[in-house]
Amino acid sequence: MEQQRAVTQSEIQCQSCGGQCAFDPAQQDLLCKSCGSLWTLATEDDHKAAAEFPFNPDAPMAEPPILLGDQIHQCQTCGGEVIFTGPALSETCPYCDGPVVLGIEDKAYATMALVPFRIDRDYATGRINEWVSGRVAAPNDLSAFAAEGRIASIYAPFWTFDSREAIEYWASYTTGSGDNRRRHKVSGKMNVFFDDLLVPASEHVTPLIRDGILHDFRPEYLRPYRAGYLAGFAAERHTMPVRKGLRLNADDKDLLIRNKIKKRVGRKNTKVDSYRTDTTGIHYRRILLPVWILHYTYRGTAKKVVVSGIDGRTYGERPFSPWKLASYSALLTALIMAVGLVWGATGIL
Amino acid sequence: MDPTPLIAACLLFVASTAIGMANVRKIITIYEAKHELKQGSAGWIRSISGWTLVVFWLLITWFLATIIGDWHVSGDLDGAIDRSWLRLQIMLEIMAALGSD
Repeated sequence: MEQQRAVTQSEIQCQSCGGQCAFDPAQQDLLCKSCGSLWTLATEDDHKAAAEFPFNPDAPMAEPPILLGDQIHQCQTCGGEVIFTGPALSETCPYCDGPVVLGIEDKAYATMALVPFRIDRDYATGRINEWVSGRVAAPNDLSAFAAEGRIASIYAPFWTFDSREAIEYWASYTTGSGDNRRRHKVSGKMNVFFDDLLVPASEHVTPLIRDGILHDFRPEYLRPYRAGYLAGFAAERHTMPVRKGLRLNADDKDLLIRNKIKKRVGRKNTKVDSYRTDTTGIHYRRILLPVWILHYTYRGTAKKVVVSGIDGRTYGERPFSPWKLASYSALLTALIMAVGLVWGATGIL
Repeated sequence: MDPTPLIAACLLFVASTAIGMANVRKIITIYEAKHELKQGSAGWIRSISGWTLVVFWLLITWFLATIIGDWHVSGDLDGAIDRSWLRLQIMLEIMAALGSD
């Protein structure tokens, strides 16, 4: 363990002055905080980081956890476990802003690759401000509350999953109206290939936030897991087995399959009664993806806005102003009532 | 002039505005999902589902307003309700079609 820490430390140490380096998103290199030297992290084997690994769900214990023994910071509020590499030591949790205590990591799973940060704090802050100020029916003081929040950077753990689904389905749809209303039953078979489905391996990144910030996953951005890319940022370890990742993804996959069946049937009012799928060719990666998180509290409720550290896409949690909602509702009600009143008064139908 | 239709219209306005707040929130959620969530993703599908409730709210408000409009002109509430029968059937057909979608 001591040897591992020494290797990590030497990788992020400036070869010129011995100062500590941090990963610079703009240069995609290590930048020495003391002398300003840049050190490349690129290697000839970088392309191998995009490799996927097969998973056999029938195998008894496909992937035993490893004991890394790294120093971790455990949050006293949310229980999150993160590691800090280099000069990013923090006394608060990047996820919930709660206090953290130092400890030794128990068991984790080896991270295979990561996408390094591509945007810096200033850009992320700008994107957050744009997102917050663009909210419809938000309270007037939302921007002020958000400005008091704290922005943290973290590499969040994700899986990517590939799978082939041989689906047999039974569905029904309706046609006609009134007495001519008929329900028709259909069944069929189809093949679906899921490529690089991203599944959060942390309880802190919800699937909704994932869908808000990660639109285009590009495997070519993946780099080998190295301390140099983590230098200056916090990272959460992978602590869940692949089997659990597949379980966490089950609801989303079910929804996507049902949606694909509806599209296949191609009729309005289609209801998927049931389906059966034979899943093969599961491949996965354990990766880390970079995110900037703004924590803010609005009238006692903790909220977060998350920015993708890859391209700056932003999504988050926001409050609504009851007065603005009531105003918009009153406006719509007045419009629809005006139409109704005139309709009834003129006796159109 | 009988003020009762006017009072009924005011009550409908207040009730519909109060009920509509959740629907306006839904409209905004759908708008944000369409512009910000990955199209076709699970989060996107979940966020845009439930839009039919917004249509139901508008249809029911419109339908009740037509009765009040008729009542105000004719002064006959029972007659206005009888004459709304066809509108009600059309509305229920639309709601049934949307409900099963």
